Amino acid sequence: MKVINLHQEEIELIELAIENNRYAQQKLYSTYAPKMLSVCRQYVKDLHLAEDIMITAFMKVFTNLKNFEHKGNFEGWIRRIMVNECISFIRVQKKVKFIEDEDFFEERHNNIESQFSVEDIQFLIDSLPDGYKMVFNLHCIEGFKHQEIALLLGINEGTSKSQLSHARKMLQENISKLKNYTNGTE
Amino acid sequence: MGQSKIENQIKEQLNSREIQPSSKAWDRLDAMLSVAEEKKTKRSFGWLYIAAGITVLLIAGMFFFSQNTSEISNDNNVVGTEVKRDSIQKENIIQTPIMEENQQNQVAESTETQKPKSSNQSNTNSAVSIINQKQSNNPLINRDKKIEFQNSSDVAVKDLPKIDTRTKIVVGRNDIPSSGNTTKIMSDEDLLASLDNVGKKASTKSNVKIDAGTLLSQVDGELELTFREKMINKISKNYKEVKVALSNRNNE
Repeated sequence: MKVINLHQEEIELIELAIENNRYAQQKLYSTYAPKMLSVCRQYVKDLHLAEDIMITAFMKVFTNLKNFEHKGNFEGWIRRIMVNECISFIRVQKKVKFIEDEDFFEERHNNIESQFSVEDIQFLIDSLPDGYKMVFNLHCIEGFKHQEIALLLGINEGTSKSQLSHARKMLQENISKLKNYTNGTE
Repeated sequence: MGQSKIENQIKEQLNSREIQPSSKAWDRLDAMLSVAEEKKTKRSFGWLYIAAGITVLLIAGMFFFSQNTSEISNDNNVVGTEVKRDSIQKENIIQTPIMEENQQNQVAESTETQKPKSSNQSNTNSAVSIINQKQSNNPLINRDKKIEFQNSSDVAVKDLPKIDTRTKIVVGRNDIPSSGNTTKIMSDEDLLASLDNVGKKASTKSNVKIDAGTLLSQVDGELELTFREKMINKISKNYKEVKVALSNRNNE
């Protein structure tokens, strides 16, 4: 009952925000901004830049709010806009170029039984190159398929797979390094 | 291929993470939104201004063209009325003596016919009817009305002194079309004569042959000359200024 009320309230807020009601826009922003800043931070190391990207993406959210058809999850819709904005920022600002490398290998999963803090996880992701990071985030966190990633980044499906395998390999190396560092062995 | 435990852990932890944006973030977004709104309103007003401008131009254009056409039509009317007035005046001038003559003749005839042909009732009836028509005012008025109806298009005829013309027109009623025809012919002749004059004028004008090529070359030559002259003048002015400046400097 409470969930239905919340959903109804969100629909009303969206309707008001379409009519440029600033209170409704602020309410939606304050609801989703912390999560969306976290999403932007996954892709961009600098928090200020991540915030800039988030603001730009929220502008797009509010200007395109009339196109939201209430079919899917509103949070998912905003998240998709954030991800797109992050990718376009990385591709334009950092001029990331993907090497057409279709040699990917089956990774062996090291089922490391260790708990990492969010900061550690963010550190591990930040240590990845931008190309690897984008593919890893899109595939492992956002749940995109390689075909979708290939379309989004304008690369081949094989390149996406090879990028992911390279990212995983590097991540495992970094995890083992971090683990050794935290255990005091290194 | 499934995700490893560490990947699942990364996903869960990152998805549950929240980073509070700075307090200025909303202010910036607010400013951006208000700028976007202003742009939207400006755009809408801009379209309104453009639409209003186009409509004003259209109306002005329509008014301008309609004025031009009305002027042309007025000119035509003026020409037409002038001709008519002339013809009417001529008609009046020409008609009056003829009518008077006819009137006199007809009156004389009627009086003459009345006396000798009094035995023949059939002939006398026509004469009597003519006399009655003359004497009685009612038929006169009717005929006047008819004449007026005939000449209703011409206001100038209406304005003419009615008392004098009534009798004349009544008596010379049968002659009106003939007189009208003569006057028309006269006016046509005049018009033809005027047209001939115009034609002659036009022919005299057309006798002067103008070569477009030579004219253009002359104009071009003039333009070039003027441009050269301007350049020469400028150069000479500048040279003089430099000369004066140098002399001043040397004097100092």
